[in-house]
Amino acid sequence: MIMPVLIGIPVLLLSLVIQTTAFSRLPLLYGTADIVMLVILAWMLNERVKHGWEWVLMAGIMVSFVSALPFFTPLWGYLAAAGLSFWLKKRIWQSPVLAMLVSTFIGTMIMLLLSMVVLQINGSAISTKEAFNLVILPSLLWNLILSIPVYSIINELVDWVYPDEVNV
Amino acid sequence: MKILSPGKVRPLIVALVLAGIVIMALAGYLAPLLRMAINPVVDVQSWISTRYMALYDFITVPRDIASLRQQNAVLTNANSQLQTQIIQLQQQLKEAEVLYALLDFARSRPENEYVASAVIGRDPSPFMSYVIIDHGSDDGLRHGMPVVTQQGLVGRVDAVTSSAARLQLITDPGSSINVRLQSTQTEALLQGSITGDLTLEMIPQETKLKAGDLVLTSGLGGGYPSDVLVGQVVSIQHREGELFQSASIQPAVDFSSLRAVLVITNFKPVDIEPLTPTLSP
Repeated sequence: MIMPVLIGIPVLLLSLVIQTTAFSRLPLLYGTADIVMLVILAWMLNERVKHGWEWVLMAGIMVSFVSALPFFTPLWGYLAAAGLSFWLKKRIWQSPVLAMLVSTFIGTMIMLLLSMVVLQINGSAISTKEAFNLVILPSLLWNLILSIPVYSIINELVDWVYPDEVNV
Repeated sequence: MKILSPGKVRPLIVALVLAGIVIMALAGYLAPLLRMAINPVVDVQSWISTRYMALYDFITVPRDIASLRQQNAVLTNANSQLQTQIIQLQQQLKEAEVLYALLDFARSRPENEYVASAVIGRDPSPFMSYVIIDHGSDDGLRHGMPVVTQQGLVGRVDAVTSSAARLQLITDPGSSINVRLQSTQTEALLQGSITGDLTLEMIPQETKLKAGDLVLTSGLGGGYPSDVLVGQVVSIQHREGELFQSASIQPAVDFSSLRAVLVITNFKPVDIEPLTPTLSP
């Protein structure tokens, strides 16, 4: 079934456009929300979703193309965060909101710590303490605030893409 | 002799009494009396009038409410359209002001060729100070071209597609630019950071720095043209025993409200990579 994958292209593109035009310009201290990551985490967490990894790959490639982060860091970060989300789905699927919050927390940490380490290896002058206080923690707060609304929207999308089967 | 008969006297008396009353009224002697007589009438008139108008309003208001609601809707609609127009015009005015300022800057430096571009996005990563502009290789933009505004240096073109380009701002933690202090002609290195603060490093200890000194590009390294304003010194960190002193720099460009930029298209950055010494086997 290719339909869910095709739907992912406009959804992820729209998320990326919103991310670069709006949310990247709304910093909390120096941290910003990562809408694309929240979208793929919410998508991966849903029980009915069968094409999650395709979305993660598409999102990773799109963000890697737009971002100046080296070595396709967004792709590896999203794969790690989505893997965690997939793992969580199997364990705490009864509490999807809790799973979303936990995966947002860990996914944000993975993504931003990976970015920080890659940039430090690449020669950028980034202080770990400064990065934690001014970028990672504010970004984490932003992502946690937005995680539930994004989860609700993606849940509606899942209902539309994978309608419930009704026994007659 | 009967000059006046009783039938003729009565009208005369009445006329005289009336004339007397009129004269007394004109003279003001009857004012208190008139007030006493008129005031209750006016009060009653007011009371009745108020009730009548209330009743009239009660009967006629439904029709007025309907028409008023209709008028209100029309006016609200017109008002919102006008508000939208005002916002659009204000937006256009701001853009025009920015473009006029850029045009003035471009005219003041006729030796350079510029492409004006609008900033349409920012890098998704909070660690990166990069912006996306709406012009690309189709408009003659190439990797490494310097980018300025009328205020000063913005950065350089980092990546290009046919219709868009990504710029590395001078505030990016990965950015380092060779600069010169205007007052002392001392060369130094300008470094960005994740907070957007600029630090001037590698300033010799003997250099006399003071707040307000202007920082310009030196042109060394071939990455940027020389003598483009970068910012000014805010504070100096001078420590005894260290080889160099450093300084905090206030950028000339306000990066938080960056809307439009000028890409210098006739500047060819020099790639000094092949000249960099490497370990040979």
